[in-house]
Amino acid sequence: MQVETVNPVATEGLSTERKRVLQRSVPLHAHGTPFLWLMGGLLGVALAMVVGVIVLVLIIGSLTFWPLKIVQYETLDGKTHLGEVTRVETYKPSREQVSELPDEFRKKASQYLEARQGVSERYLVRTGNYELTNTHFNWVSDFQIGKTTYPDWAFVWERVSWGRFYGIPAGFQLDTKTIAEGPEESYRLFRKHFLEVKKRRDKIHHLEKEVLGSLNYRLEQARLAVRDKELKLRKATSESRESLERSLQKEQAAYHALKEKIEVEYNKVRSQIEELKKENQRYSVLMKVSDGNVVSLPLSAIVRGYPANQLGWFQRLSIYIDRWVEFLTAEPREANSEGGVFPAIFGTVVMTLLMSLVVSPLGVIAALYLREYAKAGFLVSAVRIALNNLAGVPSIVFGVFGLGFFCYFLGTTIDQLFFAAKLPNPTFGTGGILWSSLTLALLTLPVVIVASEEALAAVPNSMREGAYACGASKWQTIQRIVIPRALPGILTGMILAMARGAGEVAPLMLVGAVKLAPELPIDGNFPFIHLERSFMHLGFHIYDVGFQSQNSEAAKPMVFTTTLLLILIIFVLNLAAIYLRNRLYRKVIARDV
Amino acid sequence: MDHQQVQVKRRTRKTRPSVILLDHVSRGIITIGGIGIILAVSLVFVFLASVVAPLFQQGSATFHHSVTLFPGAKSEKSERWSFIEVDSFHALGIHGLLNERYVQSFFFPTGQPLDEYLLFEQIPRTFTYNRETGTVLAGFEDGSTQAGRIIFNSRYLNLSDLEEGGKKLPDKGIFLWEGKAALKTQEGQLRVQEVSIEMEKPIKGYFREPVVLIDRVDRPSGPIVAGYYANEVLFLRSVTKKTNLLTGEETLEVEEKDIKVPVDSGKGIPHHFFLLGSGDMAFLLWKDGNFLRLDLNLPVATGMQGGEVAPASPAHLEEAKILEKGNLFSLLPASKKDQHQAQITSAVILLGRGTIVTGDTVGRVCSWHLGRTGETLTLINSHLFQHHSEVTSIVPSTRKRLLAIGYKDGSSRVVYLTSERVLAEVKVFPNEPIERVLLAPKDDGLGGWGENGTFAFYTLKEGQPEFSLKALFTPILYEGNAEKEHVWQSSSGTDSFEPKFGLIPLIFGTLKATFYSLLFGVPIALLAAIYTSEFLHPDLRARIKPLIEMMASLPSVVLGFLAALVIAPYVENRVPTIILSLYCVPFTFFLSGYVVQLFPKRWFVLSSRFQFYILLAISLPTGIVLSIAGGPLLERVLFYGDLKSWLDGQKGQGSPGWFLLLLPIAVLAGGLVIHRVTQIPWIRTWIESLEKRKLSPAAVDSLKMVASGLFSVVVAIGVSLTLDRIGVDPRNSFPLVGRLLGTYVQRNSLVVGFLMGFAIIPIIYTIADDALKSVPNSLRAGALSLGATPWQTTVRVVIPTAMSGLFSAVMIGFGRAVGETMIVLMATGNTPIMEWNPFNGFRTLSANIAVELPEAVVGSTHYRILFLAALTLFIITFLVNTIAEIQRMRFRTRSYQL
Repeated sequence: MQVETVNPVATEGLSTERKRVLQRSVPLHAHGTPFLWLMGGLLGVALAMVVGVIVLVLIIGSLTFWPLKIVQYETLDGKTHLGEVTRVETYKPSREQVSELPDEFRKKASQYLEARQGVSERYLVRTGNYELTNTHFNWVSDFQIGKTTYPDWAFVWERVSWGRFYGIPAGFQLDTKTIAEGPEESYRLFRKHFLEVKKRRDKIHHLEKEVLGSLNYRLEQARLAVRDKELKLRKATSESRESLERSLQKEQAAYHALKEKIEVEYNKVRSQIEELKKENQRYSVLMKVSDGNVVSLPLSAIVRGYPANQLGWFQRLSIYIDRWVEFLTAEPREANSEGGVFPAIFGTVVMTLLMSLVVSPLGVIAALYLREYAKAGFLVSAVRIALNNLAGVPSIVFGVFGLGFFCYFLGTTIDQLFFAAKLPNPTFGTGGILWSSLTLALLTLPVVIVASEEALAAVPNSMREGAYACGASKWQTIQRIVIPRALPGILTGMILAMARGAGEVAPLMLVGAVKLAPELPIDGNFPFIHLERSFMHLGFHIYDVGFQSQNSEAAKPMVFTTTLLLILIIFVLNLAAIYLRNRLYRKVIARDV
Repeated sequence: MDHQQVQVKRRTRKTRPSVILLDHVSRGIITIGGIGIILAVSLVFVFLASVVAPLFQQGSATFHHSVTLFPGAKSEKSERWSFIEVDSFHALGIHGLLNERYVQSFFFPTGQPLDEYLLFEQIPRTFTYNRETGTVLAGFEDGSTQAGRIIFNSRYLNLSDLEEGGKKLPDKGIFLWEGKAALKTQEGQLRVQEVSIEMEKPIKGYFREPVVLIDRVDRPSGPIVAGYYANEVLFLRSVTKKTNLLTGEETLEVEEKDIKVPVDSGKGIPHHFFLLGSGDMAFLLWKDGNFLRLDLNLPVATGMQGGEVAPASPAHLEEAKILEKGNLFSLLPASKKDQHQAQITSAVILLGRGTIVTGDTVGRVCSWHLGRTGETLTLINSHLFQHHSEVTSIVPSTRKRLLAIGYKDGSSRVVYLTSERVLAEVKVFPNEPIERVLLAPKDDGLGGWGENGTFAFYTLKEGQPEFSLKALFTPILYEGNAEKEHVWQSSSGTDSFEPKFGLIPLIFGTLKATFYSLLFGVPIALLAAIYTSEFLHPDLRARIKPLIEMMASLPSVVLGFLAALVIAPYVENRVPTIILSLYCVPFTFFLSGYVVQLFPKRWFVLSSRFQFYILLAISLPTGIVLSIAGGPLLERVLFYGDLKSWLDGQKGQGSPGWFLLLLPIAVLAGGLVIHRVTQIPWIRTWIESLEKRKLSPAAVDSLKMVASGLFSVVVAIGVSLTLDRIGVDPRNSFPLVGRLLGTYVQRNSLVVGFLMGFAIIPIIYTIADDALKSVPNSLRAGALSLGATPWQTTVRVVIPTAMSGLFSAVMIGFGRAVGETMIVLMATGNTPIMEWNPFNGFRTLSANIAVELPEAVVGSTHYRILFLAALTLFIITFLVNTIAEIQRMRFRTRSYQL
């Protein structure tokens, strides 16, 4: 392998005789060795960039869910910080920071700093307990630390709201009576009761979201039906007025009947929820926080909790896996900075599938027309260049088009024609999943057309001629000979389009991706698929959580894992394209040859 | 079976009709579909253009109707028609005369008088009407003032009740119903328009002198009324209305401040008076253009609470502090000054009370605002509209910086200040002056009231007043500024805000982003592509190329997130190291080439075989380690130990900055110079003699490198010291380019350039590599057989042949960089600054669209300008890509011919 190398200097060294001749005739700078090395180095830089980014995202993204140890820093000025160290930095502390320390420690700290040339390390400690301290994080500098301990029974609680809670369990309460004391016993009781509490909480969630949601939906539909009749009546001529009035009354009566019925059901569910909540509120853990106070923490507010410093490797792994499962299947909480991204995954998948449903037939038809039906000439080649260039038009431009044309122009028209009852609240006249997928379909159309055309062009003409010679019609030829043969290429184009569509965010910001969609685009209420709904998208989720979030430091891990997920999805799609291409190539083309 | 028969019978095979049908159907579908899809794609362009197109439409005014109001009512005593107003449906009008106590409402379409309302008990000496709030304000001869409000109200009646008795009301238009102006609404109701007038009680002043000028400011805390007594005293009256909770009786609590105005003798009473801003300055204007600007924030002693005791005499009053004094006409630019003695005929103050507009006898309408130069505020002329006839009346819009102007020759204009656009111009009367113009409340109607009472009304389509190419692309003097500036600021919290649609800062930002990302990406991508195609082992190439292409599929939102939350904070703490690495890493690669040359032959050959691995494993880490080690050193030696405060301009001189900026250029120049010098015959023979003696050619080559390196460093130092001596500092602001180096911001162009590299490197790399690979091998073989080294073959044969392909690669990279949104949106501060400084942010067209379009009102000028920005991006990238594509096709045919 290395003998074949084309490197000039390598061949030069083969024989001493030739070497001497070359040395004479060719000056050294003609070989341009330093320039070669420079170019090679830049290739190395490009390579290092790709690998670096992927490795960075992989490492940080996969490590964020790993449970860390809980450390307790007692600083020289008498404060105690209990929490997880999320980041370490080196910095130059200012003079004031040292002089703020109490007298007896100032000297020690400044000596410490002097020895390290004024550079100190500082740790970003996630101390949680937001409702007590009004902060999620604290910086602790090296020189401030008096004592570092890893308390045995330090606990981290992930909660439904207010972020994490750090402390040491002091007791367990049932109905405001303390039934256990000490960390060990409290933890045992916690484990005993927590599963039940969690079950009840899930049930409450189900009742609130699904049952009440669907009741509301039914009522709203009935109200819209009444409103629709009212609007019709207003526009009606005097002849049809009477019958319309009658149907309006009927509709109104139906609405009121439904309303009464639903109210009864509603109250039933409500009381059920209240009961469950009451039962859940009976249990709580008493926690000793870092400043010595004891706080009661209701079990119903807890998502997960563990004594971080006692865990073995397997226990850590199970928490790690549990967190991933939650991430992939649960809904987000705390303004998207905790919990899962299931709605975003769902939205991304549905949107991408819808997009490919639209773009694939259109792209193939356009490619078939350009390649098989249109007469080759200046116009067709001009169209081809234009299509090719359209792939290079910035995605935001498509977003602008989508917003202006689909949402405001088409959507408003549809609303006025079919959803007048809901106005002035827009139905289709605002961003939604349908408009998003159409916009992205337009964006990826050139990709599919160009790929399909190339695939069609690669089918040798002899095969078409053979088919014609056998008496096949043009469509038969295309259907049975050309398309099967070009299928690998066409499919590759589609998958590449899907990969591009899944990663595109800029246009979605304009046409329908939102930070929090209350309802999924597909659910159990008739007509089951709600194309007008706005949706969550993984890419937009990254932008939103990373940049619009209030507690951005706590949201960072979430962004990294979401990024990892998005990159994985896109790489899997790309790999699928390559795999499919190879496989179908072997299956279809290799068989023919 | 029967052989004979078969031979005789001709076999006729007919295609099944279904096959033919299917063929036709599919042909039809595919043709229609194909053409349809291509048309649909071009719809993108057409639609964007159709949204943008209305921007260029002129406004228009079309004649609606003409009536006579107050025939012959203009008496000797009433100098002017004092005001006319219409409701927002053009149904009900109201007008009044100065020196009259009444106003008259009238049915707007016919001019039929409806009701008369008494405003004042006595005939006012001065009168103002504020269109925005409907406030009327009058000053009287006895020193008292009175305020009130004229409001148009709508009352809704149910149509079905009214039309019960078979009485049919007209479906369309405005009609009189029971003596009231009325019209039908879409919801099937009758809208009846009425005037309601609320007058407050007159308030007596301390002086029993006539109030000759008056103005009022409504602040959140309550109104301030200010006026000018005939005895040259200015009063400032804050009025608070208090309601007694028990009796419901209303009392007005008045606080008055009086100040003496130091008017030059003989100037007489001023003709116009305005309160500026929130009432902290007063502006007095005389007919001849002289003005006084007074400070009202003084604590004035004479003010007494609620009393009616007059102070002793004006002589004891404190004098007002003059902030500025001068003549308006002398402030006009020299080219627009007039030799004739112009007189100011009318003056109004605009929404927000920051801009005063005056009209004069020579037909100029000028706007004036206060601009800050240094510490002081001075009056500045911001816009000027010239017409040939005397200005008689000006009315400002209540919603934006729109003006209706009436002229003495009977013509009228509607203009927009910021864009200096004349939206509509009509000749209302052939040769009769317009006494008073009217601008309908929704800016959708224009009226002119003539001397003998004729009133003509035009419906107005204002078009897109804020837009003009001038406003988009030239610097504009915005309210509050002293200099013309390019500004993009599309919205703000207040109504009186002046939208600033200067696209130049955004275009600048786009170019800056593109420039820095290309500066970083193009060398890496092109050189890496050349290396891959010409020097890399094919096996390695097959593995590396897909890896780099994979970079293209990284979503830009991921890159943006990494840029903003990982790279930017990381770089912030290591700026010197990062800067150094930009120089150090390429230099290490270069250096390793020289080092390898110095090796003994066997080692050299061996190292060349593993070139790429050595580069990755040794040179790259060495370069990085060198930069990490050298970073702090660089900071200490060049930047006084603190790069960021140097960039802030707190420390030191400009030379270190120049040195870093000039070094790359100097290195290129140094290399060339040394190359040329060694070609000089006697030096060449000397070098050859050196080689013959002891030194190996590699050592000589290294010496050359050292020489050129020293040379370029010396040149760079020399030039930067010279520049410093002249007093040119890269941290100064230069015309056109702004600062070259300046304050460090965490999210900056450096970071964006680096991350955008990820987006453009794979594209440029792939296309360039393809272009190089398609150079026919016969060319390479020819060059090599003539004795050229592979390096010479590459530089002199392959690259020139593939040039157009490489060019097209860069162009396509450019296209991608121009439109990139997410990276820029996330990794810069998105502030529209115009500086080339790599250490601060910018705002690009695309990021601006992403941020502002969701909030823009559909159909507004802002919305359309954002569409214009999108259309611009579309056209730029489409053109650039087309040029690149044509180049590529040309290259393809050429390489095919070769």
